[in-house]
Amino acid sequence: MDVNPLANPKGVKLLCELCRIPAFIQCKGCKVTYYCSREHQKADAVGIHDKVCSRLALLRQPVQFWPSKEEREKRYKAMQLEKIELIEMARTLAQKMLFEGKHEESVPAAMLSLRYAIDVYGVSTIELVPSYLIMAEASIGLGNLVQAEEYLAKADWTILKTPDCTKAIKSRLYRNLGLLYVAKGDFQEALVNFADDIYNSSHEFGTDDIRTSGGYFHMANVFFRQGRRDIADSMYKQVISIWYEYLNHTLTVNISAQEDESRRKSKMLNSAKTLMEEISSGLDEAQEAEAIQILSSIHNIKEHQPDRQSKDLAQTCHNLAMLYFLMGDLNKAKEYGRKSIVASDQVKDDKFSKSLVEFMKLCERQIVSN
Amino acid sequence: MATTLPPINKNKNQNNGRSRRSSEYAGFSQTSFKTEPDKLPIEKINDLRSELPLLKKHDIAKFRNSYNHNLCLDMLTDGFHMSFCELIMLIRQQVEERDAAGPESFLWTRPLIRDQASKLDTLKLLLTKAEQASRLENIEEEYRARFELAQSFRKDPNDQWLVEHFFGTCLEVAKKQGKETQMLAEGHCNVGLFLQNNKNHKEAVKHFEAYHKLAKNHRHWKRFDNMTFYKDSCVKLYHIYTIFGLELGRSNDDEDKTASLTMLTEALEMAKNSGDKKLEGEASYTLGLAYQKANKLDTAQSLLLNFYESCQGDSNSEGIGRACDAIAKIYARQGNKEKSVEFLKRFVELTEKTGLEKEYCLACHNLGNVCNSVGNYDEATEYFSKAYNISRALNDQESTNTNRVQYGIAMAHRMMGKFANHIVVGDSTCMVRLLDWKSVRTDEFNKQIPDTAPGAAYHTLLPPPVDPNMKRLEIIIDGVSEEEVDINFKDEGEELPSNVVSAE
Repeated sequence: MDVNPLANPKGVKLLCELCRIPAFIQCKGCKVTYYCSREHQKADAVGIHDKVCSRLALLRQPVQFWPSKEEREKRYKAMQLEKIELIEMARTLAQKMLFEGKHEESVPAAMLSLRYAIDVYGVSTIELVPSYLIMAEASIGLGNLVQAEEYLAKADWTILKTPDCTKAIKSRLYRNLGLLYVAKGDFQEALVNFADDIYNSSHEFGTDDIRTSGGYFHMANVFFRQGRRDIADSMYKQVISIWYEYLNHTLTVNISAQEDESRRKSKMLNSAKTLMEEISSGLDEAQEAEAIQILSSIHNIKEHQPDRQSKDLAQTCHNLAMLYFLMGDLNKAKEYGRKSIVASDQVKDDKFSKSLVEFMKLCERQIVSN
Repeated sequence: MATTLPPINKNKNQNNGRSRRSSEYAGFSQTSFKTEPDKLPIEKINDLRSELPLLKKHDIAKFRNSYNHNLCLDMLTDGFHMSFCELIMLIRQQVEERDAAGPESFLWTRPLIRDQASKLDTLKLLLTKAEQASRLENIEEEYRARFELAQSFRKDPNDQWLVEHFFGTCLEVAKKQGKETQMLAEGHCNVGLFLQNNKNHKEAVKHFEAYHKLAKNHRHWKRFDNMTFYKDSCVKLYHIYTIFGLELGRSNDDEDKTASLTMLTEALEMAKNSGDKKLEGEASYTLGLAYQKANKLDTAQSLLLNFYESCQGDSNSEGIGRACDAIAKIYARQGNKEKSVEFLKRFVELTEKTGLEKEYCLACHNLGNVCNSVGNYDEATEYFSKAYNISRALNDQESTNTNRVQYGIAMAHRMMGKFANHIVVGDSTCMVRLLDWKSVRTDEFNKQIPDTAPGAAYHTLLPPPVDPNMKRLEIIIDGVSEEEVDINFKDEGEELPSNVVSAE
């Protein structure tokens, strides 16, 4: 039974954004998005709609008439670009929420990205795979393993049919497969999949890249659950050192760039006060969230581990402090800085303590100048 | 393990699928057609399900992925991620090296380790062993595993870079221990040896010196063949200093030459420290030769005499021979011809006794040279003839040629005086003899010149009609004529001294 609820033009069916049943509520902001109930509207708003309202308004306009073919093509291309941008944004947002553990809230964003990807690229193309992977991860998080397996199977098949796809995508597929098997409890399979993930990611990015560190982290978790502490520890150590290198490097680059900047500015303005520019961490939101998740969980594990090596804990805290500093959250940075100083009392490495002290000074300076 | 691929068994399946039906349709043999309409949907589903391959996804992946890929997966699933990192790094290094050398270089003809299954297997086995040991903080085991790795790649000349890498890592591991251990010394020694083999002498010197320092502090350490580390380090340092010193000596730079001398002196020191007399002797010999080249003859002489003594003590006849040769050269340069001759004669006797052909040939040659310069032409020719015959027997082209030339020269010198005499005398016998010589090279000049006039037999000199075009000649004649005669032809107009001598 198909009663059109709103005063729709003939043949137009308005479906809910989330569940695709006939919709009765319209979003007042963009006027092109419809929902079946208030709950769905709220959920979508939290999920993604707040951020993309205006964009959707633009994208979902009925197609205008343009007189010449070139103009039509130009408009078409501009629309495609907009859609691709939207897809990217949706994916990043969804990924970030997943890393923060908000699985339910990531679903709207993921669905949006999937729909638009199908629109732009077509069904069963390789570009859809990241969206499938995000959906799968969300399903795992929500406990719906059958659906997750379906999505992953689709992604796997698409990758198989595209022999020249990048290793980065393969690595992400294997990572999600590994997570699925972990959820199922099949640790051996999970290990194999994570191994594949690390292999592909190492070939693509190198063994010491922050993108590979995720693979190491998950594998270490599995070993930890299996009780093989020594392997887990050595892998955690590698993750920590990878992040340490990266964060240190970014920090020094930022600081030296800033100092140049401030020197120039002080010369120009002749002012004694040096202005601190925006500090960037060089990571996008999703990667930041991932970093926080990885480092925090390692920190938790290390804190509760009685026979840990003190250097590991100190370095973890230091990493977290640097990360928060780069993200702009100075209070947390200081807190973790203090924790790391406490932990590093037992470490005999002088250079390490020195670098910590310098870092604390930097935090102070930044707080003062803000 | 990645080495064995899982079996693909389809037959099991088909038999299972068939067995049910064959029991129902007993009359039919194993034919491949299915009686579709007779089956229930549920049976169809079951049939389809049983036709699924027995391979699991994991096994399929084993077929699909390259050997390298499977190996890495195995390593990672067992938790050996550091070994994985190292392996990836080595593979990548080789590929990058190949790319950097350009598309036409010879590196493209060598196979990559990525493609060589056996090497990958050894790498995996030993690297995982090393990692296991390092996790248990068992540095000895780790060192041993890496050492084994290095040794296993030594045989293949293409894999020398791998050997270098693993010796380097051995050294790192040894350093990790923090204190001065035997392992560290061994590590330095191995790296040094490897660098020496690859002609990278400067680096080798550094490592050997470190080895020596450690060994000096711990004199009691012994190697597996019961030789102390200290002695071994001295010997190795001696070798590397000698090689390096000789290399520097060959260059044209003055600074390098002095550096080479210092290096060789240090080599001598090391040889002395090692307590090996033979080595010491060799060191003195090399240093002596170097000093000789640098024109410091006295020091050279003393060193070589040193060597000579030590060889005599050892009754090393070859060594003695070399020593005599070198010493003789020095004496010759100093101008002390008699001593030179004496030493050379000793050399010749020695080589005659011991039957060392080549040295004998060389000895005769040298002696012949000296005699030639002294004027002892008979002896010279004798020795040269010996040398020539031996070098012909040995079939040594170069020395044959030189000996031949020298032999000829010596013979010519010997002949010189009498030839001139015959020309001077100029009577018919002399002419005949001269002509014979010209045509067939018969040497009859030694015979007496028959007299046409009594008392003219031993005329060695008749003042010829003054020919202003005659040149001055100074000839020393020995042998047949007992007197020494100076033949002096002066230029026009001058009164000739009357040197008519008659000997009865």
